[in-house]
Amino acid sequence: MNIEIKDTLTLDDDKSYVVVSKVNYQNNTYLYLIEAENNDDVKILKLETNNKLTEFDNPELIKELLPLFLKESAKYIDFD
Amino acid sequence: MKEYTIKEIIKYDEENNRLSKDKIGDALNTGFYSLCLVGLVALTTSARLLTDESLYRVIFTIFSVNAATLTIEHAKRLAYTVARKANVENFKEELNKILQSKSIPKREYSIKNIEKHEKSLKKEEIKRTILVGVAGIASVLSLGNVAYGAFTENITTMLLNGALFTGSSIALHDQAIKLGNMLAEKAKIVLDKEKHDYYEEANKKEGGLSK
Repeated sequence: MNIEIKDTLTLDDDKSYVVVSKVNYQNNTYLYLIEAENNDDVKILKLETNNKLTEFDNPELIKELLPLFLKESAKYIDFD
Repeated sequence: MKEYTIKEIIKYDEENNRLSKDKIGDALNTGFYSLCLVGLVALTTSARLLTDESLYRVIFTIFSVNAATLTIEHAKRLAYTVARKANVENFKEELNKILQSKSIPKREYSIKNIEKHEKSLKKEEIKRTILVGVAGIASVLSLGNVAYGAFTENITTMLLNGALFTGSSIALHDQAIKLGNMLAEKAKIVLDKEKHDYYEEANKKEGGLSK
C-alpha cells in the first residue's frame, strides 16, 4: 500500500486524516495523522503488514518518533 | 413499551435540594462507569460505541486505579443491562477478560480509502494541517526541553520564530500549542511552563519573536 505524506486516508471510523508524516524506524512504518476537519484529533499509528493501522501505548517510542516525523514532514513546508 | 410521566424535576443546583448531592454524584458516577464498561467491550467488537481514544484511556485508568470495588461491582451490574439493551455480544465474558488483563486493548483501524494528494481538491487545507502538525511537534520538542540534534533544533527554531509564533498566525499558533500538549501527553514529555509563557507573551506582540 503506497501511502505518502500529504495523502488523505479515510479510516473505518469514517473520518479523514491527512498523512502529516511517515517514517520507517527499526523495520516498522509509523504514520502521524491529523484529522482533516478537526485538527484536535491526532494519531500516531503503526502500519501493519496486513495494511491495518494499530495504535500503541509506548511513550519512549513516541519520543523517538517525534523528531523523525518532524524531519520528514519539514521537507514539505515552505519556510518563506 | 412502558411509558413514564415526569412528575417533578429537581434542578441539581436548586437551593435546599431534597436529594443529597453526594447521592446524585454516586448515581452519575455509577451510570458513567457502566457506560464506560459497555464502551470498553464494544470497542473490541464491531459495535464500537466509544470512538474517542483519549476518553477510552481515562476510563481504563479509572477502573484500574481509582474506582472503589463496590462502585465497579455496581457499575458492572448496571452495564450488563445497558449491554443487553445495546445488543453487545458476549459482554460479560469480554468484560471480564479485559478487566483481568489490566491492559488497554489496542485499537486497530482499516484504511477505507486513500486520496492521493495530487488528486485532492483540498490542497490548501492539507497544507495547513501539515503545518499545524509540524508546528505541534516543534512546540513539544522546544517546550519539552528535549535536545534532538542541530537539524531538528534548527527547524524548531525556524517554526517557533516564523510560522508558529507570529501575530498573523494566532489560530495556527493556538492549534499547534494544543497539538503539542496532546503529543507531550502521548510521549510523557513534561513541558516547560516558563518557556511556554515567554512564547505566549511574545506571540501577543505584533510580528512575534524577533531574531
